[in-house]
Amino acid sequence: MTKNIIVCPHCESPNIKRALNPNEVAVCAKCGKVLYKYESNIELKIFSLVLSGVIFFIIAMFFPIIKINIIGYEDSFRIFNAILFLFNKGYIIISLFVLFSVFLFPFICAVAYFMSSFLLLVKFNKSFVKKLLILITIMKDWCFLDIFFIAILVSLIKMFSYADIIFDIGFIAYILFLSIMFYIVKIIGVHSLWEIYEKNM
Amino acid sequence: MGNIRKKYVRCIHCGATNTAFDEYCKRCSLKIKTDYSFIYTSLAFLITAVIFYFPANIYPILQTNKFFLTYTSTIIGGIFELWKSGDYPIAIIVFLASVLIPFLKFVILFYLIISVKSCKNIKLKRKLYKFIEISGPWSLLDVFVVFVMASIIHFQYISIIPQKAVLYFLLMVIFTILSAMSFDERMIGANCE
Repeated sequence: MTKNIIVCPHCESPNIKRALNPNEVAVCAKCGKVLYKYESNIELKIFSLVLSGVIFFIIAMFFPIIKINIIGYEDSFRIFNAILFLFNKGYIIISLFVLFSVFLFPFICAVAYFMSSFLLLVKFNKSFVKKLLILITIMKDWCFLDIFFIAILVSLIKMFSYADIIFDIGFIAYILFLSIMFYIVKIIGVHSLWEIYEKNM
Repeated sequence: MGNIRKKYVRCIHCGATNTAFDEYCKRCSLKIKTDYSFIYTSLAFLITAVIFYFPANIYPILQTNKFFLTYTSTIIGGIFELWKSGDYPIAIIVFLASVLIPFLKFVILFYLIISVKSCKNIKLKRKLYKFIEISGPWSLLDVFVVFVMASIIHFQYISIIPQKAVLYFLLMVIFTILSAMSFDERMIGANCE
């Protein structure tokens, strides 16, 4: 019975759910906001995007984001090295927070997206898919890659007046990974995978 | 619609529709909270966040070493410096993300907690909660900027060193996010209509 009902996330009103045709959008009868859209092959889209996303993620974390020259001193900024550097300097809580929110949680989320979309594609091991989807649902709120990216930009603007800055491969990889995850998490959303999981049940 | 509405509850985790009698979601098996017990948890996190707000703004956030000169700056001091040097957009962003939005979040969350059972301004309250939900983590911007600056600029004669306000600021933001997360938005106007 509840499978045919959808509760609007904006106004909490129940609506009757029905299958959509291509380009159709379901809106809430009460508040008029979008409930769900027609989408096809979501698991295939997520699978192929995250596959490339994981590669971009590794480049973004371990390769230089920027190279900097301040009054003759030269260095490069790599996210993983920065976490280790501040951890060794004694800023344990802050570096652990960055490690989890910028490195571990986004990586685990990306891998969980990859595995769950693959398992949904091949319709295999439902209980493991459920565990993966729960993992994404809980962790996605603690991934702050987008804010960290803006923080890098703000820091660069602050340093532009007294430093020579060269953007490196990590910067491009970071933007690409961020764009992929933005599309998967914000535009498609984990709810779409939950819907496919329910249909396959 | 009033009766049907009370019969169905949306799982805040996976979005599935459950009946009001279900304790756990039929799809994701996570707990579906539909009572007002969250108020105490949310309020406790909020009070903790407010406590951390004061040291975060009073103590210096970073120390700059330039050759033989050393100076420290607070969040407000840093904004003034940015403004004086003509970096108006960054000064505004930092002011919004680090000072104004955290303060607004406290006021809004407190208002939402004390008025969740009230049937007045339901639409406004839902919009305010969305604002809190979206803007909440953006206060981390300052913490991340200090992190990036300190890890890039650490040379012999020029360096940036994070100070204790960063930790307080980080804890303030984490507790504000926890307060917003533990607030059950579905309970806004749940007993109305």
